[in-house]
Amino acid sequence: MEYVQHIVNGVLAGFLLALVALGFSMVWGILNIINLAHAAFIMMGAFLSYYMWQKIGLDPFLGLPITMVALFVVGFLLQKYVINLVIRASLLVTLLLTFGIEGLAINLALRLFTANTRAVRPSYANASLALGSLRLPYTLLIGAGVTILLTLLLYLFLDHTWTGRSIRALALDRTAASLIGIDIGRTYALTFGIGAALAGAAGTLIATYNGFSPGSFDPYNVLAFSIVVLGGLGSIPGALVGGLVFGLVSEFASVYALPQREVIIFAILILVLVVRPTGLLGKRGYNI
Amino acid sequence: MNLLIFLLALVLAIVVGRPRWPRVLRLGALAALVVLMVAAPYISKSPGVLFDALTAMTVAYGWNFIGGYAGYPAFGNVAFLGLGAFVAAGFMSKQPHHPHLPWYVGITLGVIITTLFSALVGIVVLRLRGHYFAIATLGVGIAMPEIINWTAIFKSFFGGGLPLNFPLVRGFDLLGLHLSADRFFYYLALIAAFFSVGLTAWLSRTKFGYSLLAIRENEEAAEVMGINTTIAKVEAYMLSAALAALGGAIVGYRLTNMTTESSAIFNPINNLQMIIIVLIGGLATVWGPWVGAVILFGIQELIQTLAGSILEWQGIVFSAIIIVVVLFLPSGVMQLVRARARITWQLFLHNLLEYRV
Amino acid sequence: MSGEPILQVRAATKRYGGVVAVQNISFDVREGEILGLIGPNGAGKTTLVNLITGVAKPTSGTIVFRGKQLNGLPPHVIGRMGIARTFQVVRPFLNLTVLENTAVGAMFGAGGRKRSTAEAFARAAEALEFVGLSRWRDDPADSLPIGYRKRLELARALAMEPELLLLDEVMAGLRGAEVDQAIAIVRRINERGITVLMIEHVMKVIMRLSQRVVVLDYGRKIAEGPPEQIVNDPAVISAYLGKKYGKTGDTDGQGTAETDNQPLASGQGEQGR
Repeated sequence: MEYVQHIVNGVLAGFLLALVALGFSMVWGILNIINLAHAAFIMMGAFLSYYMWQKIGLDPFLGLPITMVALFVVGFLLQKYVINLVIRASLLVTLLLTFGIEGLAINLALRLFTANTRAVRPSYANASLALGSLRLPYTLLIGAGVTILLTLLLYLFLDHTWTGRSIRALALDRTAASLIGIDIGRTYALTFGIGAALAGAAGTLIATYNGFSPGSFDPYNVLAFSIVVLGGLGSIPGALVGGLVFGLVSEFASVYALPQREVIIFAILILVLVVRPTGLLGKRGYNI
Repeated sequence: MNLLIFLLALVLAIVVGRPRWPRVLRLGALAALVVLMVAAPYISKSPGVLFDALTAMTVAYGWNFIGGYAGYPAFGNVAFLGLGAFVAAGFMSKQPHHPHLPWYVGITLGVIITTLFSALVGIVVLRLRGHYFAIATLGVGIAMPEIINWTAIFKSFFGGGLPLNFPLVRGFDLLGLHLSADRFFYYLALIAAFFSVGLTAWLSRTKFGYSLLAIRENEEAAEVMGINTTIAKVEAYMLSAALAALGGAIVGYRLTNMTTESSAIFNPINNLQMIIIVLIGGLATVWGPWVGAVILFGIQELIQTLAGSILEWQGIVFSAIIIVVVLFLPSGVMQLVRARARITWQLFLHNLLEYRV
Repeated sequence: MSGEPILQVRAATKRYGGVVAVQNISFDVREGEILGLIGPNGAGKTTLVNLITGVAKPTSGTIVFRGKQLNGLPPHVIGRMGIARTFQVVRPFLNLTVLENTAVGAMFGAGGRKRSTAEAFARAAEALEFVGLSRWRDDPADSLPIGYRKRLELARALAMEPELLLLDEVMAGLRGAEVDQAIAIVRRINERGITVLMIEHVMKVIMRLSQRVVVLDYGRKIAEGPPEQIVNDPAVISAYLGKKYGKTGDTDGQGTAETDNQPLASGQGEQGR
């Protein structure tokens, strides 16, 4: 039965990872930018939740809308006034710019908040739902619910609203999109903002799940990348599937005392890239 | 004093690198540069910073081949820097079960073995393009310290997570001349740096150099024109690994005791540093990495002189530099040096807006 | 100029999943000739050239050049064997100078092995002279307008010292006088002993330059012969103009072969190129 518990843990963690990957996938699929500042947005979400909880006792999950809106604004402004400047430049330039932004954010955070580890521990933090001999931590359960909800909302947004559809159109053909009146710069900013908001939400989840410090978010860039590659770029269900796979892999890797978690992730990444670069569910354009 | 050296090194390098000035002037500047760098450890009170700049420069010259000339931005060459250091240490160490070979053998072996390893990595990774290549190499950089620490393999050679030590250097005697340890390491780094510059100057004029440029500009066209792109790319990657290993081995040697946690070795900052150095100086240029390293370390030295300690601000300054360079001078300083028109602030404005939405 | 075949394509077929781009095509290219390759858009002309140059691998069939089989060889090997090509959408090395662009061809093409870099540059300068681009040799390639970029593409291919030159719509985008100049250049190239296979849409060019023409439609060869013969070939006319015109066989060789290409569409001719 322990085995089943590990699967449960892996799946629940997988939802968290899927949320991490969701925003990253969107930005990559639509703007064709690998946003190395994604980890910084996750960090910001975590810290915002933490301070709201600490200062005014706001439950992190209840505070999610605030966190997400705040991160959306940050992302929107950043894209509109900074990243849009280099959108048509080489890959190296955009990678370095987002990396520079990440470095700035994380180092500023280190200065302002110190490198101490902290976590958000609402009252139910250590409690779990008991199903027979299985333990499902409440924070993870709520987190999984949040992920599913946000994924659904994203899907509805992209498929049923004009804005959402214009975002998808942009991914498929820039020129055509601008010809039918879509403001490219603003749409890019919107997309990036949404990506940041999703990252912020992931940050909140992580804050309740683990202890964190400004430096602990770095690995999420490569992780997000690997999940998106595995699940398939341009696919929302792909991000979910990828997240779940990585959640399970992570769980079993730590259980069987395999310290080489990074190597395993890397190996999976390389394997997918070489064997099936479109990933499990990926297609062209940003399809749903 | 270091600042002055950096400044002179910068100016002289620019003179050497400026294509349209008289040959005599440029050769003279080159000679002056050599003299300056050879005399530097006797002028400066803390050659350690100069050492750091020179080794960083060497690693950057390596990156210049794969990221600059070939146009494949590798984000994980820190893996080769670290591997070079560890292999060299493994051969040179006086700890039990180690062969305790002399430094020139150890460092050479470090370079050779790392280069061979990079060929294996390159064959897999160079089939990818663009973002995929960048992140795959990033993964290599992340995975390498884990591979080295893997207790099942190479445990006795690499120390298995425990510190691996180079032999301590107290001084160096050659032909009656005695060098302090600091100066010995400085000259080691200087030789590596000069070697890198020379190698780049030579290769950039060969068919190989042009094949890389062709690959960068248009890989399909390069193929039908007769260039074996796979081999050329792997060779560029191996070159980048070789110089990274050289720099890494020398850094490790001076560090003496290292583990995979050592911040001078497997630090992600080093990863970015080599890229940003080449970017500041100018991708695919002979003097770009030199100029870039001198500027980067010069700025840090400047801040240190003005503000005292740099440690807390280092990350922030570094990131700010990256952002500024990427936005305003993506073609590097050498773009300014080689520009035909006069340099005004409009050039920077143009750079800023050239690639916007 | 013996007239012996130097390139033999036999039953070449290329399938992309369910789509057959090129089907069972056989023809020869004879030494010293200018062979035209025409057909409506999507007929498979560029795919055929891709098969010859190794950019794509034939699903079946063989392609033999001077007795050596080209199937499965990588493009760079084929390039060194003496086959050069230009691309329909030109692919200059934008950040290199015009001279450097051409020199790369000289360094790695058929003659490249034994050449030093300096010799390659000298050879490149000659090629630039030949196409008339010498004045801009030190300018970056991305400063050239499209007409000159086409010439650069040509110079680069020439610098490779090919025996067989494959031109993919070299005239596309050129106007009046430019077309005449381009025709003159191609003729001069041929006079030097280089065999040319030209994909073209501009009929005037085909009529004036080629000694023989191969016509493709929907991936198949539908006609082969001297230009005067094929413009009157009912199958060819039908392919371009629709069955209605195929019966009368009435064209005057002016303008492009693409006018009124869609017999079923309502009044949507393509603009002549």
